[in-house]
Amino acid sequence: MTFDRPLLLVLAAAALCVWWFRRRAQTATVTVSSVAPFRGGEGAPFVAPRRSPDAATWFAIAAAVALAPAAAGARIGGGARPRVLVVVDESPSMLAMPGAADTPPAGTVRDLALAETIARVESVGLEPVVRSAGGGDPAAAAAALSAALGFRAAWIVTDRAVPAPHVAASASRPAGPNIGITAIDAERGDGTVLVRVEDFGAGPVDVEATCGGDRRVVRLALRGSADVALRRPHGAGEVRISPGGSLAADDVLALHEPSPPRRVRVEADGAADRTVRALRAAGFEVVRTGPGAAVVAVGKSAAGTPWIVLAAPPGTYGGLAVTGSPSEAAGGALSGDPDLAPRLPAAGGSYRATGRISGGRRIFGDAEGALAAETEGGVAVTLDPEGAWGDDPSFPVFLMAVTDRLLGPAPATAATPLPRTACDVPTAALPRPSDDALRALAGPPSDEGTSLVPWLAAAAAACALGAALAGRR
Amino acid sequence: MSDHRFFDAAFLRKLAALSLAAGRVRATDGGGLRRADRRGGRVEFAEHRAYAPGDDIRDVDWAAAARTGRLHVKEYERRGDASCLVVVDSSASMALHGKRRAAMRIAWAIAWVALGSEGGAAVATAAAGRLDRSTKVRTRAAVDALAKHLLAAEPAGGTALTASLGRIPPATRGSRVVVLVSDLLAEDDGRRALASIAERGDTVGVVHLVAREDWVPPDGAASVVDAETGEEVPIDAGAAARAAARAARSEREWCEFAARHRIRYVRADPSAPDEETVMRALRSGGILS
Repeated sequence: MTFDRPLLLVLAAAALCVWWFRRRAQTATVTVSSVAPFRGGEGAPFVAPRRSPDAATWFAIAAAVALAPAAAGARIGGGARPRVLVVVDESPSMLAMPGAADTPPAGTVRDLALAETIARVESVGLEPVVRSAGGGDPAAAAAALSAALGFRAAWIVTDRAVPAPHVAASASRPAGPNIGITAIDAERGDGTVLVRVEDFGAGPVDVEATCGGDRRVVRLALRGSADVALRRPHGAGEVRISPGGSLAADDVLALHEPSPPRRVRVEADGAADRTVRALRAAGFEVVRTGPGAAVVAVGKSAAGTPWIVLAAPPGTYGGLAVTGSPSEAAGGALSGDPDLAPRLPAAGGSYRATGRISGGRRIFGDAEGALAAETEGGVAVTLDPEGAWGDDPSFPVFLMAVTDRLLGPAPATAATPLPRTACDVPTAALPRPSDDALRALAGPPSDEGTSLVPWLAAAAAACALGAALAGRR
Repeated sequence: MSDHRFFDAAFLRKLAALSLAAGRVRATDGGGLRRADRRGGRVEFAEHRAYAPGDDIRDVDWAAAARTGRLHVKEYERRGDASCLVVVDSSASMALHGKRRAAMRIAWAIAWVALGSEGGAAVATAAAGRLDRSTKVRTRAAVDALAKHLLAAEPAGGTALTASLGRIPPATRGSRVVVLVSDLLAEDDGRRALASIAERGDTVGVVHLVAREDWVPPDGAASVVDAETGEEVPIDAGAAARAAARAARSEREWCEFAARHRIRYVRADPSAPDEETVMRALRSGGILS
């Protein structure tokens, strides 16, 4: 709170005088014939009577207290000190951690530099007006903000030099060396992602790159780089490097789910409810008609490529031949491709099969022959998905794995890595600008604030009225 | 000054029908009767009183005891030509709450009644251990001298009634009635002197002026100052209760003291509005009859 006419605050003293005289009047001494009747009891400590001003006095005091700051021109929100525009560079390198390792850093380079700047500005009697430059060019942002706020130039909290007339101020402890991911290719057709890891002053160093369950270690020379191929996990995931250096933002990149989902067309002459339900559970978009990326036929030949025939009736499917009569296959007797072994039907179940398959490459089967086999462009399975196999949790997983075999893994997308220039964080502090340079940036004092005079005057009038009414009673 | 300064003619006519109760004496105390006879005045039988421990066995009316089976003491009253001295407390405290005016009216009334006999009357003012007596007058025509004496004394100084009353000389002849009119608001309230005067054979009366304001803390006061001593006492929450208890104790002690020394004790309210109240108070206390 500031005052235009602070000397008029003497009215507050007048309020105290009013209160004092009223109080004295209330505590007058009265002459009596004898004080003997009123003496305190023997041994009883004297307890002073409680005296409190009456309502009129309270109102009068409140009126005077409100009137004094009103007369003195009270206002809030204003400041008398000249202001300096402080623009904070929010580029990624400002989020690096200070490099000195002897003491644990209290925050990022940005936090440290901003705290030091505010203390510096206030130490020379100026008032900082802090604005963010966003992630763009801090000098351009400072120019725009200076023009908008009426400043000639700005004091920019940054880790890089800026052009005049702005003044750059960095943290006293600059960022440490950094290692970062500078590029990524997640859409390779071989089920891998390729990341580029680069050193910015920390090397030579061994860097471990991980993605899902895959892990690779590469050695980086000083300011060198290396490309690392990592197997991409199914669905979402992330690529991470360790150690990552001073900037954490370039140490990890997220991999996203493929989008949109792959489409599957289901063909069946009879019921295929369990098949459709399993496909949807596996993340497929299921259509009954129309063109699709894959065809899943139940109890009939598939018309399309690639194809998956389930409960395949006796006949020929590409290079595969289904022969024999319907029988039951015990889950415990099944064996097959190690990659698909975890996805085999449960061992305790008994599954209806339309026959046995010959030809092609066996996926799994029992002692009597193959129950699932693959050939160029398709997979045939004689187990009936509308029976016990359709209720087994392995069924949608098997469909997803087989589809991946036929179509290859779904293409993934990855987050965009930081620009290489952002990863190359400055590791040297800028020269410390002088106090004169700081004062030269001082702009007009802050706004005059909001005047409280009308409100205080109204309050004083109300209290005066209250005092008058209370006095009449 | 006229006779009517304090009361109107109608009230004076009522006063004229009264006389001083000059005191009761023991029935068989030959010395007492002889002393009364020696001082002059008429002794008349007043009443029988039940025997109380401490009464002289010689005072018992054996004839009455034989008739009733109970012990009674015979009491006599002196009437007639006793002289009268009315002492008015003129200390500073009497200036408050109408006590001075009430005291003058009561003193004047007693003196005026006394002047109806041949004993004569005088008034005196007492303050700060002094006693300022008027000349003794013997007729109602001269009563103005007593009024002037009372009016001339402005209330001032402290109360030292023992010293003031001690300045009253023994009666030289005949019976005498001594009446003190005071608010009795002092540690030295003259009780010892009054007892001594009563023991000398004078009939003693005390008119105790009790103003309500003397026993109730003033409204809004944080402290009170003694009008006579200047002592200041703060008023706390328990002051009213203590004052009320002390008022009751004061009344009880004065009643017991008066009974013990055969002193006529009467309490009067100085704010009483009319003469009837004054006269009722005096008659009920046995000072006038």
